[in-house]
Amino acid sequence: MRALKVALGLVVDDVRLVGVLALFLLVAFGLHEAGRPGPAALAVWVGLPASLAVSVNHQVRLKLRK
Amino acid sequence: MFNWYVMGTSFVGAFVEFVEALTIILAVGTIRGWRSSLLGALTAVLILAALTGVVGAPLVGVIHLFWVQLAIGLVMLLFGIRWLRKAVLRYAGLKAMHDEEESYRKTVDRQRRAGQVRAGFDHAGFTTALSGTFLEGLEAVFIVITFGLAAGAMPSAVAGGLGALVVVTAGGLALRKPLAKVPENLMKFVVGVMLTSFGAFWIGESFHVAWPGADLTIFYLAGTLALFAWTVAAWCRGRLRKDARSTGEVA
Repeated sequence: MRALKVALGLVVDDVRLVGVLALFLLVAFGLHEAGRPGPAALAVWVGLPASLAVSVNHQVRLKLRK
Repeated sequence: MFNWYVMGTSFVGAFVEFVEALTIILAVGTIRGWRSSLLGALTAVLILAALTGVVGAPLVGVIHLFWVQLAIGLVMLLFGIRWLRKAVLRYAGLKAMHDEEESYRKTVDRQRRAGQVRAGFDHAGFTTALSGTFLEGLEAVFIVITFGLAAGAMPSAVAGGLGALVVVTAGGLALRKPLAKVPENLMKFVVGVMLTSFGAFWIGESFHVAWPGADLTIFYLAGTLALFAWTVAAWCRGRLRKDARSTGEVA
């Protein structure tokens, strides 16, 4: 139960961050399944800054709206 | 007969994995507390020792590294990127520098008063140290077993692995004090970058993606991510300052 709460806390902490990250990981998995391991690595790599940027940009917008 | 070549190869292979585990243990210990970090690492070592003792050499065929890398990679990536995001928000001025520590202390105090936790124990730190040490340790065990079986010189391979463990542990003890002098927020930023890079690397490994540079991937993943996160923090700070100035002018 406690582990579930921690996992849930991670997800709801910033849905955008986890959502974008999950999307890039799914793309990477798809590329690997399609026999393209090079672009799959690139998808994992790009997913890190992309998810971070989307999440931080959202926080900045929230702050500026106040 | 003792095989020095197998011992040397096993030493180098295990050394790389142990250094990676040590990095995680030191990072988690510095920012989340030594007790939970060392307990996590010790638990991982005990699980590995029990697994290796009970299953022995067939361990390589019993455990599918894919699932371990995927599960631990996801845990590490989620913890790491969350810590990195908070560090970026702090440097950008969107989050108070110490509010997380205060809320953490308050929560622990509250739980301690209610008798829910023992003093100073941190579950996130424990889980991160345990999973990181377990995966790196498992990879080291696989390396030792593979070299030992392939060359028919298991005692030499085990000696190499144990030698690497002793050297890396001594290095960890020496590095513990200097690391404590690094500013806390900078340390959290670095740890966030490192855990995120390790997590992404392992998830990629589990997918069998083609990382250019194999284990060196962690360095360029961490380097580009740190540079990007720092740039984003600086950009946010500038944007907020500009907004504060224009709001002040209107007022």
